[in-house]
Amino acid sequence: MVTLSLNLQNEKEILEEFARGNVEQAVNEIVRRYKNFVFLVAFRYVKNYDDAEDITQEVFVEVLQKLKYFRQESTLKTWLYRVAVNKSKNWLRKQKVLALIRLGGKGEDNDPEFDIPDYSQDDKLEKKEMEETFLQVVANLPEKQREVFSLRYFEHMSFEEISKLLGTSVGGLKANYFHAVRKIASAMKQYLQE
Amino acid sequence: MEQKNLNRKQLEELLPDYVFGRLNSHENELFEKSIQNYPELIQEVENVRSVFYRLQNMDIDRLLDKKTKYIPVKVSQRLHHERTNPLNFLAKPAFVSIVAGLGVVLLIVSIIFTRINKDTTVIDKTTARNNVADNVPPIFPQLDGLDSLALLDDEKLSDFPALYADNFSLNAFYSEADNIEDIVNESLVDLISVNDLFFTVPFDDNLFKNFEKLDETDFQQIIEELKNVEL
Repeated sequence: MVTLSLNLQNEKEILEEFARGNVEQAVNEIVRRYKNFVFLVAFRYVKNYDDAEDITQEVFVEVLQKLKYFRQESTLKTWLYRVAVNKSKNWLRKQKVLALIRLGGKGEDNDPEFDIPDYSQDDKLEKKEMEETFLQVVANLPEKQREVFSLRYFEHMSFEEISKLLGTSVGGLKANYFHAVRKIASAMKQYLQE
Repeated sequence: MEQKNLNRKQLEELLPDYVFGRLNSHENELFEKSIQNYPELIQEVENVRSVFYRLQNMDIDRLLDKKTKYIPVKVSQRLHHERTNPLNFLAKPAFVSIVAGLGVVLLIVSIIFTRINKDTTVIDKTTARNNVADNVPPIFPQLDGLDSLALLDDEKLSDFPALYADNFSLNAFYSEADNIEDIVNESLVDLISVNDLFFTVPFDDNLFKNFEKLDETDFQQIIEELKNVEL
């Protein structure tokens, strides 16, 4: 809760700065503060760093252009999250349509397999690759499990906040959280033993 | 008062927070006490803890910082481009809405005008007959009554389509050609019968009316007069 109130305070300061006309400063602060958050949300959906970067840019451009209309009924972070999810889902829909066109009507199921990237033995111990594997494993979880895990594990949000954001009951979120943690532990254990 | 132990479902829901150290002391104590009844969950806790212990050294933020380091510059450039590009209004929702709205209005207006034009060009047979009867100048004014009967004027007949063109478009005229042809035929039939009548008018019927009153002398006189007639 301390973290959340601090965030709110900071957001308020940023928005006040923006209202005072210091647009450049406010915009820079918003992007700097939330770029990793938005990027990670996009990556969890599209599972590709380049596409996640493009979507992150799109999200910031849209949000910053509409910032003057932001009523502060939710937090800026929540707004960014929703825009990022919508843009990522739109991107996925577009990719499905493109895949259909390319395959001449033979639809390809884009549902991710719960697999682990195949790294060479030499690279296995590299920390960076373990981090990337971890992110990939998280990204390959079913949507609800993935989102509740990420918002709780990376963003330290309470179940009540996540419940409001995702529109799911707290009980359901806790169950999804447990299943997500169990699957991640299982997949990462397999990776670490190889 | 001793609190009731947690069931399996409740333990599962608390398990991740227990492993990540996010339970308060009371919840922690209750969790540890209750899990003793579920050995498979104890094993689960060990599995999760061992994996996440190794993952806790990860620096995800550092990884993400690397991936996103150019995003502030790119976003800034795009925002600048959006602000300075003179053609940006073309992509603005307000402009797109206005153009789309105008398009719809034009479409509706064109449909309405097409319908109005269609109403004037498509005339049913009854309307056509009424129009011919009420609005069109008489084709053969000579037929309006026997008193005004006169010889046909060939020039007027040749102007026949022009008479209709004053009241109808040529398309309407040709679309109703069948009706007009009927009317003309009827008029010609009337005309022929009227002309027959016209050529019989000079006959003096007084002779017939007084025929019974004539005597022998009168007949002789008539015969004498006829002898003087030059044929």
